[in-house]
Amino acid sequence: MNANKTSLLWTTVAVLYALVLLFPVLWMATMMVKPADVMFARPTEFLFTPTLANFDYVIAEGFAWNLLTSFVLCTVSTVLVVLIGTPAAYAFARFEMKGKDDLFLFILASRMGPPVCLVIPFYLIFTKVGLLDTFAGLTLAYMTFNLSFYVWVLRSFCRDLPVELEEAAALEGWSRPQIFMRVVFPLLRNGIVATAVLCFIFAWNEFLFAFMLGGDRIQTLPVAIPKLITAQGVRWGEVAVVGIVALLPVLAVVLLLQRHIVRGLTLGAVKG
Amino acid sequence: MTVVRFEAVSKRYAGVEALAVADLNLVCGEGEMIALLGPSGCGKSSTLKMAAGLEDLSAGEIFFDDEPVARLEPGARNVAMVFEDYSLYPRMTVRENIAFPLAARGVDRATARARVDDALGLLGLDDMADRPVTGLSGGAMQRISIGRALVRDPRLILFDEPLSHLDGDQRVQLRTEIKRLQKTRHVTSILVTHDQTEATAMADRIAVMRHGVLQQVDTPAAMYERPANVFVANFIGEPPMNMLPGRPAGAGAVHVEAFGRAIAVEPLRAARAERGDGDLIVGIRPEHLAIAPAQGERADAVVSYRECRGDADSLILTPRAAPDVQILVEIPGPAAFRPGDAVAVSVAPDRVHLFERASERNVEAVS
Repeated sequence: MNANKTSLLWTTVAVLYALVLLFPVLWMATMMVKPADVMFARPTEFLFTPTLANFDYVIAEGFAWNLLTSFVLCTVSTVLVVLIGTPAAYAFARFEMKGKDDLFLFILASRMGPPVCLVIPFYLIFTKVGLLDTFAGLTLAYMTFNLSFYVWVLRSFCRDLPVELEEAAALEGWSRPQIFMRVVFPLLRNGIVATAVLCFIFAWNEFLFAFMLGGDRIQTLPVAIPKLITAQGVRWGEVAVVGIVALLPVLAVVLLLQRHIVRGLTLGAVKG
Repeated sequence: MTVVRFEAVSKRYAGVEALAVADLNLVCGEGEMIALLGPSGCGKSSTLKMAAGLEDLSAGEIFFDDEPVARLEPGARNVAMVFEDYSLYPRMTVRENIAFPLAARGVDRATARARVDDALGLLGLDDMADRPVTGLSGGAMQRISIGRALVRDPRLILFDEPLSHLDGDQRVQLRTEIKRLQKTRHVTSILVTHDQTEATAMADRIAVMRHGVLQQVDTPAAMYERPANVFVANFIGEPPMNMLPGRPAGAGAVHVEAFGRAIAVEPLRAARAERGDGDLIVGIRPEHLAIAPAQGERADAVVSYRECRGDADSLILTPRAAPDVQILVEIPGPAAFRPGDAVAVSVAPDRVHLFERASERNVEAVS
């Protein structure tokens, strides 16, 4: 009984806390369907006739295209990061080579400075080689900063794996790639998923690179939002729509992969 | 079945001055189990890893039946290894773990299944065949690991401290079981351990190593009876041998400083000792010393501590001639000796080991 009471109390506190944190999001959600005339009414109008006008405008302005661009760009760059970064992280954790630590620090260094330091050289190079405002160019830019993060995090996951498992498999006659796929990968999966989700979210929220290196053709959602600041004023209802829509993919990814993420971020790769 | 031969094998790790393994020559006979015994850092694990192919050799060659293998990949040697921490694949069931080596070799399904079932039966693992390996007891996990090693009929099995993570009961049980399986399957095996009890209980022969150098290879009994040097004498036998300074005293006797008198020694050993430079270490195992109550002049020592173990009493004696020396004695118990008792000490002449003090080598081993 007492335990029940305590847990009820904590649940209540947790729910209230969540409500406080979520309030701005919920507010934004109501703004999506609020007509413009009651948007900032004082006192607040809780009873209004919902409208889909905001959606019409957003669709007419081609935001669906921005959403698609963002999604494809983030997915492709994250997948590439996983494909390239996983073997790299494994190699950094397992193999000895000359100047390994220096190389590792060099990789990490690309995350150390403020992004602005990187974006200008990127811009200059991209104008020269014609990668400005291209899908490939922006993918490449996203990969540089996500790859270093991914390799850095995943290396520690790899290091936590007992090397004896791989030795046992090597003695059994498995080749290095087979050992990686059949022994290492299953143990690394949660770590890979958790880290990849973080990379996806970084890419999804990224503004500076997309703004500088993108353009009219490749315009991600965060870059497109300022279009709603018009000469007639800010279109708050539409901003709310885009904002909520921008939240959804991240929310979906996290919910779908929750199990892996929690395990990956808390327990380490081996247990569980 | 395979004869494994190490020929002048050396191992040097990058950035380390001393050799981890120095000029090792060792033959492990067909179906034989050899224990590599020594304290940590003695080179026993490096030797094992070189046999497995997990470490490169710095010099020398390893032969399996006259076939050099030092340059073969681990997987090409058909060597199995049982690890200290079991190293089972955590996302697989017991059966999948044991079957995993067969999949690597492309053994067809029916054969593989039969052989896995065979291994499961042999190890008494049938009930848990389809359970995941996580959460099983240490003993069960190590049995699975042994099953995984046996299932593919390896030429050589390497046991790397297989019992050190287990507790008392399971340790003794598995020790017997490994010995039994190794003998029934007649697999050449190398066991690495730092525990002399384990080595003497399981191995046909023991190879004692120290600082990368092989000290002696012999059967457990021979090593106990005739240790090649002070290090081996100390390492084999529990509690360790008493090492007392002494010198030759002519005609089949040596003078032991701690006793303040000469004791009789097997004539051949005494004669050998005469030829050296004089100073000796006299080694006497605690269980070979006999004591009797004594009065006045005849007393050699005083009992300073008694530990009663039921079947045996462990005593510490303080010799009268050398009060800062401690002599360990084990006698059948419970005995009547108590701290403060004056005692006379005696030992059978053939139980006295003599070592040169300078080289620490057994006088019998010195040529």
